[in-house]
Amino acid sequence: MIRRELRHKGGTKLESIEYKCPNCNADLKFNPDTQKLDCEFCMSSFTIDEVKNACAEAENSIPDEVLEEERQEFEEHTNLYHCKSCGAEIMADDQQTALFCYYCHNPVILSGKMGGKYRPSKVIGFKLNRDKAVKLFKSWVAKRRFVPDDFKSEQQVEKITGLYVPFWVADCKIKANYHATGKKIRSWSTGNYRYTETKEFRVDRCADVVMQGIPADGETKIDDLLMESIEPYDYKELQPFSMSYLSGFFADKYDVDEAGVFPRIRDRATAASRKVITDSVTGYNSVVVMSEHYDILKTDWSYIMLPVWFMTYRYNDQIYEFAINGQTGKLAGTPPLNKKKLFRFCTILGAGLSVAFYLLGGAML
Amino acid sequence: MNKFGKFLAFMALLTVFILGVAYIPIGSTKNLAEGWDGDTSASCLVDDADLFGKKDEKQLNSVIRETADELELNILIYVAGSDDAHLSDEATEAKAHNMYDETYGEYTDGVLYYMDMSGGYSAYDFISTSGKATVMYQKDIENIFTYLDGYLPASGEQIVPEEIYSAIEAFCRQLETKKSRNQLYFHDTYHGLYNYFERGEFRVTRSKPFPLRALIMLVCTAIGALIALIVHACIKRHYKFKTAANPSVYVAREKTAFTERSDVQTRTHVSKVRIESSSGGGGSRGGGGHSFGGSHGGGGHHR
Ligand SMILES: [Zn+2]
Ligand SMILES: [Zn+2]
Repeated sequence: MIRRELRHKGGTKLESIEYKCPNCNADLKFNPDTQKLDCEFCMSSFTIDEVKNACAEAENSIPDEVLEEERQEFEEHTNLYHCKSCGAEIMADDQQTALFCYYCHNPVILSGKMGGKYRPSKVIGFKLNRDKAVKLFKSWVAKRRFVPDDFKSEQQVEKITGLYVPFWVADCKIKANYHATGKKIRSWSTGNYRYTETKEFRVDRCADVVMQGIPADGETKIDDLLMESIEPYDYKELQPFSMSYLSGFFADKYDVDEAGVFPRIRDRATAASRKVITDSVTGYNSVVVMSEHYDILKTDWSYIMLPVWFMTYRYNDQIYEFAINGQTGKLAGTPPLNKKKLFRFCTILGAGLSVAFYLLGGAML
Repeated sequence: MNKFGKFLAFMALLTVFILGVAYIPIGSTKNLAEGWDGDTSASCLVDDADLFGKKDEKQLNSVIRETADELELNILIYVAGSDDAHLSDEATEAKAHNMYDETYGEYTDGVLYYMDMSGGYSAYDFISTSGKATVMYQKDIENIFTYLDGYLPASGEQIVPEEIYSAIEAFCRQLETKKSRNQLYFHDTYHGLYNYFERGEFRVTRSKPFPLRALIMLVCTAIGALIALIVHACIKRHYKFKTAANPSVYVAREKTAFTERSDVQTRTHVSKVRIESSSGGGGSRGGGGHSFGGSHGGGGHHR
């Protein structure tokens, strides 16, 4: 990660040394104001020691697992299809032909081969078959009376597509720094007086938080929140990728790289780290945070594919996306609301209640 | 249709709905009203206090009957004497109502003016109205009393027959000037009856008059609409996206370690407040009731 040819003598020539960002691998820039190295891509900043430590660890880790040979094989046996309507790029193995876009359901055309770099290192295979996915979807829809009628139709259900979604999975090391003032309040009465005792505490917490396997999908088309909602996946079932996993399913080509998903990873890592800290601050009636910092010192990435039963539904010029975790069966999505249906129901309800109140209340008054 | 047009159409439908439902009567619509039998001779002065001579009484009776004929009401003016001195206000009211009913019958149109000339230290006059008189005068009874205060002696003062004579004349004139049909209805809470005019006909029924029903329906519709709105909002909430997974599941607990974890007490502060003691309020006392027959309005007045 450090370009070795650059000299580093007593820190005087720091500006000329090029470091790579431990989070997203972009070039770091030295910031004389903070005496830190900043990454312009993912907005991280590090002390020189932090970068050095991160690099030392990286050198011990196993290098790129995916061999050139495997990449070659991958490229040969996959076809890439392009959707002219929505721009989606869909991958299938050479045994099957994609006809329709999983996203907008328009016809797709063969546009070439999938590059070797898109071969994931690992994959979780589909555990939930199509019938089960359809059943889950149907029971989920059944609970919602005010969806448009055709949303429940067989035609719609047929649009459910088994899709391997490309995910960037991040392992992060976070340094958490938290300082707050906590108050414990106790009160009691003696005679005619009420006493209130307020004890103030200085609360200091520092922690090295390690997070493993924070996923972020590398596909801009699919709503990020939707993908987060069908989490978590059980990574114990991760297997080395092989072409056989693709048969019968489609896969998506990622269009966002590590640096692109890093802000999302950071948000989630920060939220989880804050939770670790605040969970350890207990027993106070009130806590006022003075300062808190969550710095991601290092991120290790792996690129994997995760199974998703995916479906879209177009209603009132809006696209509704639905996803079912192909491993656990967890379902997420925004049900389309037929406002007319709901309005009709509420009007009848309101009118019925009004008449009932009139007859009951009028007699009682 | 644009949004405003739709809104107007909706409001029009809503109005039709409210008025349509309000058309359904609540309770019995049987009309108990007995009207006025046209017998002016039944209207008269009853002078229990013996204030007037034969001549005065005759003259007063003719004034009363003229007014009765004009207004199409029974009018009874009762001048209470010392026999009634012991009556409480409630008993006076009950006596007035009962006396009216016994003289003219229940639910007939008419007025009884109870003039307290018993000489007691707290004179209590009362006007009992019945039939359409309830609607005609209820609003103005207090005003009529105030007007008559100019003629009548205060409690304990000397009772001068000439003054009472003028007061009765004034009362008859007041009946003519204060009559009103503007009041929508009179509610006799004691019997649960409504006195009102509907399409020119005077009615006494258990069923509420239409304007009141429309008002009730309006309130009911507002409540119904509110509930419908709440239901609407609740259902709509179920059609929102559910929140995303909690990233805490990705924390590797065994590898996560605190490098600093301290809670140091910096300050203690104790405040002392005197406890204010509060005492309970007094109880309330309810009054007793007196029963009477027909549906009556009316009002009393202390002089
Ligand atoms: Zn970076
Ligand atoms: Zn498409």
